[in-house]
Amino acid sequence: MATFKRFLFIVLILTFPLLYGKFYEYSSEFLEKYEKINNFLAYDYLIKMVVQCNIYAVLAISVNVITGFCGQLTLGHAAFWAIGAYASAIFAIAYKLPFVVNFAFAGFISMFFGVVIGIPALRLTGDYLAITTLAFGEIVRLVIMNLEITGGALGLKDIPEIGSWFSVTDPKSFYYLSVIILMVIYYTTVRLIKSKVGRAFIAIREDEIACMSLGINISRYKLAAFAVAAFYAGLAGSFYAHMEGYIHPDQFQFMDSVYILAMSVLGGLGSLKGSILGAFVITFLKEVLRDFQSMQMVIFGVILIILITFRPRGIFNKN
Amino acid sequence: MKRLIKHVVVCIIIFSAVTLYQTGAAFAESDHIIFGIGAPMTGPIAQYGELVKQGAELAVDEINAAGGVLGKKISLMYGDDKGDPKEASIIASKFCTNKDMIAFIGTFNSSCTLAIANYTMKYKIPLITYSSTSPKLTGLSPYVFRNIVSDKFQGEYLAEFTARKLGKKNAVILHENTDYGAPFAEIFKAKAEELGTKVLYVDKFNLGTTTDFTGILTKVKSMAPDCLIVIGMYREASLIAQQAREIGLDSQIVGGDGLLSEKLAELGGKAVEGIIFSGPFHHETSNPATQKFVEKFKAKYNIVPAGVTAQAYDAVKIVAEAIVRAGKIDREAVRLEISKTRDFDGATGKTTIDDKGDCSKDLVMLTVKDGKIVQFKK
Amino acid sequence: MSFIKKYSLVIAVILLIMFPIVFAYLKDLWSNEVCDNFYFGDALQQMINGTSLGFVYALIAIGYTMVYGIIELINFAHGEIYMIGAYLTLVLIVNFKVPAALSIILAVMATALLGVLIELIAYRPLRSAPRLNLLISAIGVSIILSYGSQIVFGPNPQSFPIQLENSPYEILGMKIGLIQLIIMVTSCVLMMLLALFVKYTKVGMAMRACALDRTCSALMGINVNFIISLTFAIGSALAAVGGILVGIRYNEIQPTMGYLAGIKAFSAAVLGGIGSIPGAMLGGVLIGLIENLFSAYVSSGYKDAFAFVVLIMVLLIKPSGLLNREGRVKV
Repeated sequence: MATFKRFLFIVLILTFPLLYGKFYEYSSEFLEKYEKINNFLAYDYLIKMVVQCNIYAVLAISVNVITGFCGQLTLGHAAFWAIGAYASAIFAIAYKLPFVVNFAFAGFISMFFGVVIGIPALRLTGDYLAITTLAFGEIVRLVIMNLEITGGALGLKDIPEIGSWFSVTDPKSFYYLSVIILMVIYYTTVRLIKSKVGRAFIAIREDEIACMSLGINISRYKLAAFAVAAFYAGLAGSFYAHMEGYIHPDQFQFMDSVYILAMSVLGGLGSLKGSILGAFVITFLKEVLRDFQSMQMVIFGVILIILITFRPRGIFNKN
Repeated sequence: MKRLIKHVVVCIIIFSAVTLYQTGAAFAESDHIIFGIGAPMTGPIAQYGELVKQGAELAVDEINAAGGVLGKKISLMYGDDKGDPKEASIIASKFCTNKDMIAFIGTFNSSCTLAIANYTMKYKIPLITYSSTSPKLTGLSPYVFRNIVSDKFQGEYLAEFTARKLGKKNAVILHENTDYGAPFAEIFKAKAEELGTKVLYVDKFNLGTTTDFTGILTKVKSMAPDCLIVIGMYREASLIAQQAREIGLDSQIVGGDGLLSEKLAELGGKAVEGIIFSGPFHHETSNPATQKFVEKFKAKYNIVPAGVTAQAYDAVKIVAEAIVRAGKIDREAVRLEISKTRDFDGATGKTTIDDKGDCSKDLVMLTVKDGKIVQFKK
Repeated sequence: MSFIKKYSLVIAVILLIMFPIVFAYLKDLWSNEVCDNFYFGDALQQMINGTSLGFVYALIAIGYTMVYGIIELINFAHGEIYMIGAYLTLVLIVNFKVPAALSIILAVMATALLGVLIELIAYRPLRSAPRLNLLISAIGVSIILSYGSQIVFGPNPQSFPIQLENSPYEILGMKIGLIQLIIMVTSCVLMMLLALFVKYTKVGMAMRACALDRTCSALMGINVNFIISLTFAIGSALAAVGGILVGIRYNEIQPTMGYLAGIKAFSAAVLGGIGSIPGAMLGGVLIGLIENLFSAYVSSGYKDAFAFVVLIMVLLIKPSGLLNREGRVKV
């Protein structure tokens, strides 16, 4: 029953904007203003927003795996996202293989780097780990900016599209694919958390010393956490790259890592559907506040502080 | 169950609020023609967004006061790309679904323009940029234009100027590590060497975060070049000039259009006196169209207009004229007319758009004298 | 073998200093570039150039190290404090027409107050919360300060109203500018004053006690909250001085200057040994020095990445840093 409720909740979140859009579509004002690309979904901009939310939701879930469940704070997650995006893009431009191959490739490359950054993580705790991940994030960005193969400061364009039936003017197809990806990742993570691995993560978060005395191999699980999170982020990056068609190092900065972290925190560290919610709320919040220009960031900072002080377990949990 | 209901209700409230807000914001009156304007209104280069706004608004006010275009008034829809290509693609998708938007004018950074062009090309909306100079936009699509010269043109122009007019025999290039600086520097180097000026050394610096150049400059000093070419923005140029003079590097500094800003002298002080750079516009050129623009601008804003302001002004007017020539409010027709812009007499000189969407016009060579930016006269 | 292990970090740092020089030398041998006159004397000059900026990093690093020593928080917002110190001076001089010397004093005091306020509002309520929460709160404060400054002061770089002629002096054959000398002297004096304060005054002793063990200090009757506020005040004041010095040196400040300087200063604090004040100074100078060498001999584009590399390197080799305090391995 709980699973069904959870499922219902997720489905509702994801489809609500579209139902709303469809409902709106039939009002006469709307018909006058916007081009109807097809009969079902015409509000392209809103769809694009939801696709963005889905991508961020995947990222927020991946951050939650490391930070919420395993207790290791990560401030450089945009780096894995970037690595996935660039790996997929470069691979796609070099070898014209179908999207699925690039997708998987990006995931594995990211996972490799996840392990690379996970190894120093074994020795560090808390704040030091956070700073190290931040440093890693910045190094990755600066390296991407300076290398030839990633296009450097010019960014990478002409990334091949996902398939002939995907196009920028018809985001509906992106929407379906992003929902599928999100759902698969969400359910995989739910199963992961419920398994022995997930329980080990939580145990590490709670008390490392107790873990050691119980024979749980902390190193292995920490690395696993990083690997999994990086893998998801890589997948998200690959999807993002192929959807946008153009990527640039400035899209993957420290602030983006902070956004993703904030999404996890908002929804509650340790709550996966909270991550999805957090992703949606923060992405829409950014859009709503877009017209308020610089205030947007200040408000965001204030929200962050208030949240973490009064609702550290997420907006809906009281403890 | 109660919690689930509570969650769902909250979600519905949030989404309603947001989508209602969004649809409200994206609507516009249907008896207006909408020009989308992309510019960095906030973020690290927000100063340019303000300048663009001034130019665009002056142009629109003039046009509307004269009766509008084909009887309809123009209204501007601003999109803030914050200088970030991610934001740019979001505003692109927001704007492109608005049926009343006839053309998109923008944006400032080439990387943002490329991100937006991705969308406007697919939606078949004409795009004209007033400031993106990257060669990557040349021939990108029949829907992409610009009224500023590309860096290919500018780089070669500057190289010719340095080699021929200034007669420099060797040079060192310092460029910002961006989509503006890197290709520009390459083009300059190629042309300069073709013309016989030797490029001794090229180095890059990170935009916005680099404050201390004494490291590179000490090295450059030991090479004793004839001139130092700075491809970047005015902030870095002023720092480079100051620090160069401090360590005794006295070579002539030559720069690109990124240096054009009234803040150049303010930040650089004595050190930037005499540096020479190119720009699309100067308020004291003898061109009558320029003077008319400067007068009107001074009347409205009480200050002297900047380069990007004049560019944005011209861009808006080019599109408006294209609509008038097309005779109908149709994106395809307007696109065709923009591509046929010949000798448009504007604040930045005569603009002619070629078949690749680029334009070629004479650049103005500028220099700093007594704290003011004036035209360079040999 | 144990010698290498014990001094591994020192060796690594020395290698890092030599790397750019060797790199450039090898590159010269390899290629036929025009700049084949490699002056070793240049390298020394480069190092001197780097130390002045390094002293500024040191001033900021002290704030990080002191705060971390006392409440084990990496104060993300500290870089922004440095920036605000410079801006407050600018506002006082330009908008309120306060004479320069007084402006500096007022700005430093105001920034110290700001530091205390931040601690009160954003960190104190979370004192018993997990470290993660504190860090996130610090990030929030940093965002507010940075973007808030962009709104209040404008995002453009602005010229700093205190202008000094950076007349070059020659000392032992090395050129050094007047402002650079001022920076070095000011930083050294301030740091010495701080060291004396911490060592010989009662309050200083209380600070050391709190850093050692907060609960015990409270038991001994020390007003821990006051000490913590004082720590923030001193750290912020020093950072403000750093900001002002940088403004004078480069004649320009911008709201985004805090982020990178903050990270580099933090790397410096870690390099020198977090919790150790002389360590912060040493770390700062080293980072400034090596950064300049990299910028001159390797490539200016990677210069910023380099501070991060140092950070990771220190944390991997010897997290307690070069001059770690006795027994405080806080990692």
